Amino acid sequence: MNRRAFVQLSLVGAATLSVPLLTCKSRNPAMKNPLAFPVFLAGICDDKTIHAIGETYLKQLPDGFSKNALEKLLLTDISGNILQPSSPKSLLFEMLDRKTHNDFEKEDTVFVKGWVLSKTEACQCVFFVLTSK
Amino acid sequence: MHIDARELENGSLIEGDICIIGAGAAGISMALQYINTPYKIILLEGGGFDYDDKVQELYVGKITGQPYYPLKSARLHYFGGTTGHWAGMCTTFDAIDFTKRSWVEHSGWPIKREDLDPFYERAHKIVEIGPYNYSLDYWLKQNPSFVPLPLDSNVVWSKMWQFSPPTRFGKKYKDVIVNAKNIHLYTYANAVEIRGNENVSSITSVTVKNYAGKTHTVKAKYFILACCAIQNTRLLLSSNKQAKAGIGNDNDLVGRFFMEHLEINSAELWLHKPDPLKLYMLNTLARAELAIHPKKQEEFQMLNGTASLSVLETAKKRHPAIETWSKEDPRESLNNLHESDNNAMKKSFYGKINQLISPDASAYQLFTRIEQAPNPSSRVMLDTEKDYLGVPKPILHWVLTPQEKRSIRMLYKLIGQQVGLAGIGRIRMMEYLQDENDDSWPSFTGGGWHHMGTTRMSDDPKKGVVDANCKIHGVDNLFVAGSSCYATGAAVNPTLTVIALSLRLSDHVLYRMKTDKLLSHA
Repeated sequence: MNRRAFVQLSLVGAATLSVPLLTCKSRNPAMKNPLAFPVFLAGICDDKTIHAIGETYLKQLPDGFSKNALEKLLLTDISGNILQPSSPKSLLFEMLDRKTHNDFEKEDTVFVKGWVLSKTEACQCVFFVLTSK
Repeated sequence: MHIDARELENGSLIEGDICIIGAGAAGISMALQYINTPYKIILLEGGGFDYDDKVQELYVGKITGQPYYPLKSARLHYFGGTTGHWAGMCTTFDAIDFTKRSWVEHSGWPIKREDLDPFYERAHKIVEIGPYNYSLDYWLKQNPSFVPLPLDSNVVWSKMWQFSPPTRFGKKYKDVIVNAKNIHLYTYANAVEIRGNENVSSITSVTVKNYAGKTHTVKAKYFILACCAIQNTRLLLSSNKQAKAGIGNDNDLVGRFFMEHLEINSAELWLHKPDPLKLYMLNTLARAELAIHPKKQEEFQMLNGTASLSVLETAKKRHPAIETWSKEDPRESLNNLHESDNNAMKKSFYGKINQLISPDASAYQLFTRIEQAPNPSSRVMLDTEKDYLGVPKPILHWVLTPQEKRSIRMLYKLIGQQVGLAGIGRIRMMEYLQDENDDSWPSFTGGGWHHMGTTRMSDDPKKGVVDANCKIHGVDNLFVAGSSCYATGAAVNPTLTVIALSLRLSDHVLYRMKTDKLLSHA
């Protein structure tokens, strides 16, 4: 597996719920959307792998699960509040970071293509697939 | 005292108080305890002091179940036994390994972990390792460069190991055994038959043979089988002139419940920033493996297993042991294994052999060692074909169950959750674990060369061959030393526990000798 060369990440630690500083150099416009960009995962694998995870997890989701439903799910924070897609990226990243951490804390994890992932980041992979089409 | 049994007059009678059959880790450890006691100890070794391929040939056997290493090369047949090439990895069984676990059929020992603690401490001296202390805190203080992964120890904890030099028993203890006046070491004395009294409630003699065509008889008050799990089975089952099913086999248990440790690459740990993880790398004194807390084992109904870490770049270039250890000659297999390891390191670290720690590594291979669920179908049997000395050859039918694979998957799910929660990286399981409905095993599935369980321990003769004192049920003076007595295999290399259990047995037999004497005076 190749480390993503197109993403430079500086994670102050997902466990501390910090906002990641990142420069996304992906030519894939979908990756510019925080909802389609699982930050932590992107730091350790390439977009091909993220795409493959997304495609596999998409098949595990209920039939008819729409892009809009997925977007709403990803925009819902751990308190149940729904953020706007147009919210500042830093806010969205922070919210998704919290959700990812919360998933691991609550053992709300999924097992996709061998990866043990938070449900949120797996959904982000699906969103990446859906927005790449 | 050393006697070469080939040089004795044919048909010699050898007499002593205690006869130990087998001079490997178990047999030698026991003999060491008996030095300077008033008892005459007969220590029988099938081989000599060095490797002899003709003697090694006596270990040849068939494999009919899960693919395995050639039986000829899986153990060593000379003074010192398999310590002649063991790796020296030592740690203790966990308390949970001795308990009856509702989710592990046939689990439970009639002894507890604390029963072995004093003997583990004594075993440390024999294998020349540090203090009897496996606490993580202790080792963190010993080495400030050791930093544990920030995982919840109530889920995933760091289990410590210590490393023997490794002690080669054949070299280390040859002189002390040979020079001990009351230890009579007979080399080239292969036990081929055990004889008992009329109803085989007591053993009267053991017949030994060698390639020189000599046959001798050994008589003693107590006999201790210490030949390893496969050879102990062979000797008990083939001693069937008086007991039709073999000695100690009234309940068809001898040879059943053969266990190995499944040792297999299973997953990758991808860290978001490089970390040498020194605590978890092979060091000279100690290291840690990732283990699952007993409460989580119970919650997820899983077997006990651990994950050891190595730099992924190196690990990926290493060939699986089941491929490299394919030669009948153990020396060739060992060379192949070392060559594979050395080549992997050369390719990974620009020719710097033995550099196992990489300061800029962020990807690690996770290698599983997991206990096997005790399974009566997994067994050692006798072949119709016999070896040169007339003993039926063994057939190993090693059988795995879906529980092992499910447990490996769960092991990495739990580690994966903890690694994710700690925000340090992610876990990716290998392809053979990805389909949760697939219970098959990949071609690179291997074992640890750890043979266990064929004379398992239980208080109930219908459930085990030996009792809590390692005495064969129904036979007054026949004991078994070694890993064949294990009721379950734990997730650790067996040698330290083999020695601890043997020391416990040596104390028990001494106690029996003393009480016998008192009774005879009464």
